[in-house]
Amino acid sequence: MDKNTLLDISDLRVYFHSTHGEYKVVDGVNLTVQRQEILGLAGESGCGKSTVVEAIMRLIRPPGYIQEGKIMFYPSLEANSSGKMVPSDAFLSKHFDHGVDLVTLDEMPLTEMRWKYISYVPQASMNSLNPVMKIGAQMTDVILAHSAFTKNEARQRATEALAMVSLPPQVLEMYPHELSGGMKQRTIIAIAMTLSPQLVICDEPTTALDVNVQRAVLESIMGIKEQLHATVVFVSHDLAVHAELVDRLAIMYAGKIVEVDTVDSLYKKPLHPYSQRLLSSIPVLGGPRVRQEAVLGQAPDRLHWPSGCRFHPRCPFAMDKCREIEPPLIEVEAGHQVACHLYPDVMAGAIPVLNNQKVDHVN
Amino acid sequence: MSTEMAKPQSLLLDAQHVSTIFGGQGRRTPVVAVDDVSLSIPAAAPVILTIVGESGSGKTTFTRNLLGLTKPSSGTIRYGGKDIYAMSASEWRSYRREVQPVFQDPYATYNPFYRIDRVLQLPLRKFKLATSAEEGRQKMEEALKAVDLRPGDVLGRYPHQLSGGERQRIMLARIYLIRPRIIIADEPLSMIDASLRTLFLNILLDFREKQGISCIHITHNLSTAYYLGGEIMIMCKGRVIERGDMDTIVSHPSHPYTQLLIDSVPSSDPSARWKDRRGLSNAVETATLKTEGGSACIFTSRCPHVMDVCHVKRPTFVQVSPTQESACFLYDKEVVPQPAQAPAKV
Repeated sequence: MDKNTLLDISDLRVYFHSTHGEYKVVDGVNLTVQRQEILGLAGESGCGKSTVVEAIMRLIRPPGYIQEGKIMFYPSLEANSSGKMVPSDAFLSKHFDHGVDLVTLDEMPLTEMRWKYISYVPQASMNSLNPVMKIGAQMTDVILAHSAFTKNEARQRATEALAMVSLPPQVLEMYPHELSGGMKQRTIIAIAMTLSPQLVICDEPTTALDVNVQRAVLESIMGIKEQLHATVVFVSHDLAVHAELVDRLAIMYAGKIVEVDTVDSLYKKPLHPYSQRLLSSIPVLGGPRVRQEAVLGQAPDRLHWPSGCRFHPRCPFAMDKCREIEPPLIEVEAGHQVACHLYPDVMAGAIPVLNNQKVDHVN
Repeated sequence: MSTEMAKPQSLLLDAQHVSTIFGGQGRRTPVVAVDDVSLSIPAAAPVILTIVGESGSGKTTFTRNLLGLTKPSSGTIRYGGKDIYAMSASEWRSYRREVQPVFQDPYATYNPFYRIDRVLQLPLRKFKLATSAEEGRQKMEEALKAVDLRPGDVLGRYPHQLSGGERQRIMLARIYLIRPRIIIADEPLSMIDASLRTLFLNILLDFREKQGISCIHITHNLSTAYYLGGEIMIMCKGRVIERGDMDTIVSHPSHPYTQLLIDSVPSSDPSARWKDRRGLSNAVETATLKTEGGSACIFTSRCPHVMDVCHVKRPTFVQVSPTQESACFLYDKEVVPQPAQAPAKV
């Protein structure tokens, strides 16, 4: 195992029971997250991106369950020596070298793991602050529940965490309704940072925020990486936000990862036809106004995924093979993985390079 | 966009100095949601006008004013020269036919007990658009095809069986059926998926090109606004602070607020990220609402160019370039001896 790997997800399957059958919401996800990177997870709604991060936090509740798969987490001692925390728990320190499988971890060590090592900013969480508790009390609650700090130390850490997102200590004495939406979201990010975790998972933290506020929140997230030297998994459907923030991007479609690459190279040269369509439909501010074409066709039915490649009913390049055989995620260039039957043949020059980036239909 | 100069009869919809104040009775402090906003849609050619503003800027209240749902505290809204709040029943009926809304939340606009067909049948009956059941059926199918839906997929189904994108498109199909003259769309894209956004915007563009329907589009997303083109009005805390041609304003924003807004839009190109950190404001911006109509500029607290005059006088619109007006003293010859030129492209 590469010693730069923090999280290694292999063949993760999360299903949901229903009277109609099994909803295979996440169906065979393979993904590695490197230390101190911001990894983006993108895809249309219903593709399973939130379910993946809920599985990492082991928050899947019935009727959902983790059918199979491994989520190996390799926390490091070194990263913490620069911070202020040292792992105290005997169970965890025993597992540092060979990693912990979060899927099979018992409830007790899992509770130890949460917040101290992995913290989570759930979707729409800024609206879940307790309206009758002061921010300070809510922050120290988290610290006291997950660490051995005294009340005074906890208060000190809460102040420091607020400072990391540029909020003044007065906020500790305020109630949630006194804060604007952006400040609430930054408070939530501060709560996620209080115990200097090595992995912070943010699920759609900027959705429904105005652009000015969105920028402040994104700058707070950049701060997680820079100030805590932590790793961030950032879930968003907004590809313009990913372009601004993340180092590497994974694109999901129908419960699977279809393409992973560094964000620069992926935006320059998307390989999967779905990624190409998705990236060409980002609305751009300024420049020539070109009429874009939407990703055509219906989103697939989660109860009965299409056979073979799940994108084939909407794919303009679908071949017979695509209807029958599911393409595996293969590495076509260093660090660039794609799950599509067109590759590596296109790369080898057997098929002309696909490019539907711009549809020439001037408005 | 000189609203004052155009003749009233050449205007289809004309809102002048509309203000809406909530509260103010008893000990409640009044909240000025819409503060002296004017807008006009010409009768001659269909236009797309986008109103952009952050949450709490009064966009939705102004939309409700235009739709006749909330009577403004002052100002007039005229449609075809008639005040919409003083219309006769028949005039009101034709107003309701010719000005159609698309609301923000497609999950809240449908009655879950009725099939989708009813949404399309009601206007057919109400506005007598079809003479026979067969003709009605044909019109419904034509309308659904116009918004890229297969009639067989949606007719006979219930709202909960459809996705958010499909529901919003059925609202557009309804509009296609009614053929209004103006669509007022309040954040129609906020609940639908990114991949369907383009489809929805293309339908709005087609409606203007092929059906001659004007559109007032309200959003907080500048990128989708730019995609539609046309004209733009930027709102901040109830006031319009800049208005004019979309391309001019996006490439040369003049008001400091507009500049801030445009600078905050993610670039969508990883090689052109924000070069510097704006630095997070550590001022405690509380969630309290603006309470005074006020004789000051509303942007003083965050404006990097704030002057003494900004605190005591309310800026009026100044022509910054032939297609752009800005409510900012930086461009006012009477305040600044050498007014700033419209800033270079950002």
